Amino acid sequence: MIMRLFSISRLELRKSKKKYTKSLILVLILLSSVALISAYFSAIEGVKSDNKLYVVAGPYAVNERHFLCYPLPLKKSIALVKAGKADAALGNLFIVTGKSEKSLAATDELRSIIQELFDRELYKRYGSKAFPVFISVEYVKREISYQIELARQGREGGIKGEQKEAQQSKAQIPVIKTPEKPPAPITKPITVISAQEKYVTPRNFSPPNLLGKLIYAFFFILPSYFAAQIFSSSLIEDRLTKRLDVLLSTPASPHTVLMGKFLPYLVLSIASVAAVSIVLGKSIAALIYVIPVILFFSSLQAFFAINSRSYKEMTFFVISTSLFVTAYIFIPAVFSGTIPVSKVSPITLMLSSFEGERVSVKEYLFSTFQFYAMAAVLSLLAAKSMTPEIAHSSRGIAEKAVFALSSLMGKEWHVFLVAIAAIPFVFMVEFMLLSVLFVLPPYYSVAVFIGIVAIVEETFKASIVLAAVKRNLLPYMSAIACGAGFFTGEKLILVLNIATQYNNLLLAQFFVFPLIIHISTTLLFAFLRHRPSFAISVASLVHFLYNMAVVMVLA
Amino acid sequence: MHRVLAIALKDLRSVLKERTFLMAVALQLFVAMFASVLTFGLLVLYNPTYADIRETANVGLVGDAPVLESVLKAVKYDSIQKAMEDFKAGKIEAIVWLPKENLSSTNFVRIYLPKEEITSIKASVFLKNRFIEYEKRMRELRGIPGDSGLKIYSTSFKKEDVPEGASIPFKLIYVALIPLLMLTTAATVAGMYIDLITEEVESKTSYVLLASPLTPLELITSKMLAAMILSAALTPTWIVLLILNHVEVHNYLLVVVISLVTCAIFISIASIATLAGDREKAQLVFSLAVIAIIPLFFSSPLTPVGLVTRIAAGSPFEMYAVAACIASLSMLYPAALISQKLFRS
Repeated sequence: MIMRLFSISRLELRKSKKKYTKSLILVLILLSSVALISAYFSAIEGVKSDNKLYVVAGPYAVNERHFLCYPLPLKKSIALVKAGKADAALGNLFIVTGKSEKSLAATDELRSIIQELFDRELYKRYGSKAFPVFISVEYVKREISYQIELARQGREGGIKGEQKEAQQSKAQIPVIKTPEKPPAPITKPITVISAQEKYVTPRNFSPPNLLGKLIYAFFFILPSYFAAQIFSSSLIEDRLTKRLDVLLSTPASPHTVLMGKFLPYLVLSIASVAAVSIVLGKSIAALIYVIPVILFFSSLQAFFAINSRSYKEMTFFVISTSLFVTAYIFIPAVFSGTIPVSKVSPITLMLSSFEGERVSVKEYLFSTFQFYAMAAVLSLLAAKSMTPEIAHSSRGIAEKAVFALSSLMGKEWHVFLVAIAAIPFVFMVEFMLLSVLFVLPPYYSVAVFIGIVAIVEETFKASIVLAAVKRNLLPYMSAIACGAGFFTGEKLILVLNIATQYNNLLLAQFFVFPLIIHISTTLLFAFLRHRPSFAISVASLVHFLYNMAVVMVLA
Repeated sequence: MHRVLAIALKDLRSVLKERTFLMAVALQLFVAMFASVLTFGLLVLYNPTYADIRETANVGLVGDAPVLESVLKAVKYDSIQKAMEDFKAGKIEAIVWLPKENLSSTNFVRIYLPKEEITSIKASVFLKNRFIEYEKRMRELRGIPGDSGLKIYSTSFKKEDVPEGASIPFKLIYVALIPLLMLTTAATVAGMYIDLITEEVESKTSYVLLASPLTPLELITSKMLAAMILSAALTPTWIVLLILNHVEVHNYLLVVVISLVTCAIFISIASIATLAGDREKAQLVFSLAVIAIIPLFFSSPLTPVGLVTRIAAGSPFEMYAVAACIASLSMLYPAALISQKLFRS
């Protein structure tokens, strides 16, 4: 088995060796260095595409790249603002602003420029005396939200013992170090950096976020995206040129073929992450955060490479999924430190470990387990799709996925396991929707969110039931197994208590009898299964109405 | 010409049939939604009043600091241990610690905030404003002007309240989101162009096509035409999407033109990349080239990105740069000529 795996990897390497001629490699190296130089150049130069975005008029000149200045007397300047030809007029210690969003933005920027000039002038005249206050912040973990969650569960007859434990931990007071005196000499008026803490003036104080550090994360992830892209391209090429069929006719199993083909690219990704961590001077431990993402991303690409009908379809899938996955792992990192769910992404953990924070095993499992699980499920499905009847059929991806699923289920109880395995995907999709929907006013967003959750969950369950029926399993038994599996999967997350905060947002604690609704909607679907889209709509509607009713009653 | 159009239409039909067009639109929707999430999130981080979070917080103060006490209106604690006890129990949301206030030299204040809690944003904004006030008071006690005294008025000389951070969402939309939508469209369309060409080559249908009176140049032109028609359909989609999101897009015809030019530039690059051979290699060369070019687009106001930012925001822009941009549409021709080589061998 291992020998076969390696020999397939060797074949893959030989194929790329033949493919990538010396001149092409030269072009690739050249392009990569141009890309590096251009990235370096822009990092030094900064964004300049927004030069002269605002127009300011008035007797005072503003020397800042965002502003285009019209040197005019004040009266004329204000007339220009009124006419919408200028965004703001600058007078002696006052700004006249227009009504548009752009005017307000211009005024806001003008104000901060003036504030900075004022600070500089104060420092010039009075020295450090003009900066009487410096503040530094330490963030301390406390268990408050955890207790609220437990109290709610307690109302539903939940675990009382843990509640006591939480109260006990509350009583313990940690030893607090007295802050060491920061060094007295002030070199710059804005910030003072001592050995451990950063002291800032009140105006420069803002909540924590890792936005600035995100660029590091990009360097870690980007090379792996390329490796995944080459991997999936090679796979789709092998499939379309029927080379894959030849490989499958050997004693090697589809799994071995898939893994064997993936191995060289995995090694390439790991090498790139290691190289990046050496270049950036970061710990090689970054690997444990990046690998689950690489595995997930590559298996997703492999699944699409085997199931998409054409190159065009594949390209769209690659672009959409790269954006989707990037958003899923990067956006939470922006909010790390302030929003607890930010730890859903391994990138958040990687960046905070770079910052010197300790990452607990529980946190690591919480953020990476879903990626490992989804990678396993997707590569299983990809391997199952590697039969000529699925790979070469002209059906759509969704239909092929159902086909691949059906080959996984030989008995009714398998349906139960498949339903549990679907939970990480549901979790991911719902998390993304939740983060998008929280922009809406809360009044709508709850209803919209519950509606979409109902559709997503019913669609997943329906696909599983459809696949089971395709395999000639008993429809109603499968439906019950599927609903029960879904329920078990959801509760597993709760019991493991790894996603307390997420469940809070998902209103999970409100749904006292989700088992009943999960099973009854799948049964409903099974009953109407001959018209699948109609059946999904009905099941979603029932699910939605039930959840809405529960929320209305409890909230 | 007739043949070129026929092939372009055939390709567009297959794009529609595979619903890839719908997916491309969904992709734009996705980019737009996430950009708005990011905008909103950053706004909340920097200015929670946007999210209707009231700026009040229960703060505990430790230390001998009479001026700070009068500014903060905080609960007074004798020791940091006692304050920490109440903080951990959730009675207060922040601790401010200044052991001894010093009226004549620098005061270093230590603040404790809850980690990984949304209340921490609220409390920090409250504290920020209070500390700015404290800084002002302390300056005035030392005979130093407290703040710049800058006033903001509307055009009818009424006092205007401009929220701090108002420029953040504005810049995110015009400097990041709109260029990003333009570039995503261009990259998608150019990626599709590579697929259209390499599919014909790898499935050997190009031999059949070229055995007809069709020349290689005509074949390439037809694929370019299909890709350009697709861009012309996708660009208005994201503009409409923005308008539906209440984003003001000025001069939208010119925005469409700049976006089409960007698509043409990317398609030209893609066309030269097809010379790499098969799809895998061509896409790789193209992706690398795009990664190299995108940072440059943001490094000057005269690039398509710089132009689209200012045109869409309704700011003045350089006509000559727009003209140069439109002239670069002609890049497609030499690119087509060069990539003909693919069919020669």
